[in-house]
Amino acid sequence: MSVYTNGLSNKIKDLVEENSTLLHLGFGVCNRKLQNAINSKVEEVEKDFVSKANFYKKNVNELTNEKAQLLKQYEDEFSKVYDVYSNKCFQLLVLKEQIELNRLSTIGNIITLLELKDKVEESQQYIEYINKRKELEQKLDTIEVKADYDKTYEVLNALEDPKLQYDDQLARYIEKYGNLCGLIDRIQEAADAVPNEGVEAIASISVVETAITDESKAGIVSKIKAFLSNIFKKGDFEKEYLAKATEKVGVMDAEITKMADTVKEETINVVSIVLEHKDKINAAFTAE
Amino acid sequence: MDNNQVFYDGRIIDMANISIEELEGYYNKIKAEKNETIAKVNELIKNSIV
Repeated sequence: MSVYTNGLSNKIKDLVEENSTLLHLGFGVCNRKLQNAINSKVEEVEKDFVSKANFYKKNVNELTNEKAQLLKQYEDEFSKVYDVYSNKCFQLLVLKEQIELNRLSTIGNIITLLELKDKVEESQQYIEYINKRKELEQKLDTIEVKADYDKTYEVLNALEDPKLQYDDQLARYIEKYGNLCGLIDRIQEAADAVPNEGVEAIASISVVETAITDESKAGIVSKIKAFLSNIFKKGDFEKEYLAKATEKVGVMDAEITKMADTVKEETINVVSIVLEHKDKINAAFTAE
Repeated sequence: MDNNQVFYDGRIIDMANISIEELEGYYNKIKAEKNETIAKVNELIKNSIV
């Protein structure tokens, strides 16, 4: 084993470990970011619940079940967003892992060929070729008759390099390796973008319908309205807030279902584009 | 090891019990290490064919 093939074999071992760790950590980062985004949205709903309960002069401690039920509905809706983005991330990371394996096996093929290099160059056939080539080149330098020169030149050009097939195969494996590197970089970028795409999607879903009027900034009419509302709607927490907040979940559901379908479609498209590229790289290599 | 644990640098990282910042820190660190490994592979391949 040469210093290069030995070095490459060691790097394959490093890459196997790094790939496996990255797959787990990448998926972990994605899921945690999505979960954090959901937690802050649910917290937003909870704060709104408490604030509305206070507004309607309700004791929050007596609304534990109502609060838990409402938050559960919101959590269930957000878990649908979590699932599609988590799945997108997983699909991309697993796909990347498959192509990483393809790259590792290509490095393995390069190592095999590099180890054959000395054998090819020391073969009787190659030594004879080199000697014959040298002999003809030296002869060309001394020939003075054009017809003889042309004939010798023709013989030199007709000589078949026994290493040509080897060089060609090595060059094609190196090209395949380079193409796989490019593809892996692009999938890595796409996979890394998924957590933030999911976080932005979750953040874009509005959970709080209306803010409670800030009385200090309200005009006299608003103040009267708020005062009357406070008197007459004291007992309407269920009707004025809880029913509406539950209704909001239904609206969110339609919005989230649409969003989830779009993400699923995007995932299928990205995966099929990558697989198509991978097939092209492999097909270009096997085609003669 | 369960699905929430990864082995790195001679020890087990429990992903469920570290902050997102730490988790991302490990992820970026290993990604950088992997990029260095690939750069080394590229260099070895380049030098081996000269």
